[in-house]
Amino acid sequence: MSTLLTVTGVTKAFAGNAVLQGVDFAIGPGEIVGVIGPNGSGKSTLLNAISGFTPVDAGRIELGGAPLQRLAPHRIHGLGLARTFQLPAMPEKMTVFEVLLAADNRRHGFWASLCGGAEQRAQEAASRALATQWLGELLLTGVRDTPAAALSGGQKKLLSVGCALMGNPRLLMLDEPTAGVHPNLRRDMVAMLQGLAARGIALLIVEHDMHFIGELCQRCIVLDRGRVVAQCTPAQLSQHPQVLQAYLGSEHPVVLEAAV
Amino acid sequence: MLQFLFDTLSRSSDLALIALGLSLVYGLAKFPNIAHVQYAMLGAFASVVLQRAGTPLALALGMASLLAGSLAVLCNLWVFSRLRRQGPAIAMIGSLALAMILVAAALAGHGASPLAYRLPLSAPWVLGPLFVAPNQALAMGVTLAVLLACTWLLLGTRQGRAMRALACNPPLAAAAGLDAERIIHAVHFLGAALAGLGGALLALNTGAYVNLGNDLLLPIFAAAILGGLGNPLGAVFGGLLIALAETLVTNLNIGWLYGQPMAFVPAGYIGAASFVILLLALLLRPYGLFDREVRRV
Repeated sequence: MSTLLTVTGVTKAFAGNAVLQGVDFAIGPGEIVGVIGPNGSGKSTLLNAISGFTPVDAGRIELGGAPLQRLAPHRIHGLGLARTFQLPAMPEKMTVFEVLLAADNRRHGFWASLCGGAEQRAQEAASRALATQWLGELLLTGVRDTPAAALSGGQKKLLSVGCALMGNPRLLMLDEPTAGVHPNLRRDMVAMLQGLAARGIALLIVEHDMHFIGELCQRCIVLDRGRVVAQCTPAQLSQHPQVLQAYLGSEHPVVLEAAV
Repeated sequence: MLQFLFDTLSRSSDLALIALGLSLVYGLAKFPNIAHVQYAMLGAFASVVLQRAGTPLALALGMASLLAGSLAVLCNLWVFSRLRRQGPAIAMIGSLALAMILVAAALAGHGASPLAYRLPLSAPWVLGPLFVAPNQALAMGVTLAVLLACTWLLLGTRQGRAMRALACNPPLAAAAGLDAERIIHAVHFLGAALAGLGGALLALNTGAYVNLGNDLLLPIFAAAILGGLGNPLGAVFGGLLIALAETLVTNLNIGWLYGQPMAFVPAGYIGAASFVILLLALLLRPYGLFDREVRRV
């Protein structure tokens, strides 16, 4: 299988406190991979490191063969990697549709977009078509002209996924997409995300909800204290001795049974 | 009455560009830049000096605006981009220090005496009951044109949309492929260019003088806060209200209070009007007049 994202020996310490210690893994196109682990195991730092928000101390991160580890976040986005955040703060006064349009920043030169012209109009029309398409697929058509700040928590999560998709990513990283989301919507999300993967978009998902991981992911990466302690299918998690060790006695050993 | 309305509009056009610039920068950089009014002062000096040296007035105004914008980009690069990381309070104190340095530089470079454009004296146009100084009309015309251009930039272009989106959440914008640093630079340039132009136009009436910026501090901040800091077009409206209050205070005949046919508040108390409005705004509508959002936690 070809690989899309390769993470090799990624290490990061904050003030001498090692958060990532030589993390290695790879993801192929269209693959859905979950990242799980106890609080403080380095999941969010891993996402921040890959997306360029946290510079790494050592190691290599490559997307389609291009090294990412010294690039600014907006450059990494340009290479086809989009992400969402745990707490999506949306512009208060912009409508849902405008927020989606603002998230489309491919191919737009600074001066070109001020000068206008036929090419600009064609691109603007393409953005609008793309935004309309994602509004439909993410069940947001009804709130197209609502100010983004007025959305419910779940709708904000969907909108932030929509923003990420406006960049036509090859890899989409989601940070706790189901936190605070109603179970019905959670079920819809599983179908939506599987639909994205079917189109070849790889998904890397940090998540605490083991049901969600179990239904959605083909593979799990288990982090513990900044190390990958296991890579297996969700069903194999409860038989994995190192996973049990990472979870047992710490937070919630019970959730592992739920995943099976 | 017509003259009163015209004076109000004229004064609000003095304030509009500078208040717009302040609010624009606040929206993105998230700190109130006290040095902003000094860009207006320097713009006034630059424009007057250029014009006196023989540059045509229109060119002098434009160059002053560009110079103020460029200075702001340097200030952002050297001072604010570092200070902003320490939080808005630190950045604001830094901007206060920068304001003092800019005033001191103007004082050292030119001295305390005002400097006026070298323009031929022209009689005011008499339009019915209205007296309009040609300079006033020029300033108002330019202001209106620039305001319309800014409105189009903010609401009608992709860059404007990017600025409005970035104002909310820089990491989110970066994750959507926006180069936050470059847009913040662009907005500092734009905000200061507006202030420089506003100051240069103001100097048509008052001349350029060292305290031009300091005299603007209260009305400009009052206007921007009244309009909701970070809401650029609100700031223009805030400027209109401040101008109304100032014109009202100085034109109101309060003779009846003293049993005399005529008595007016001395012009020196103009500043008090904006100060009172600023206080009321902070007490009653701290997020501005146009804030109707429900604040979710």
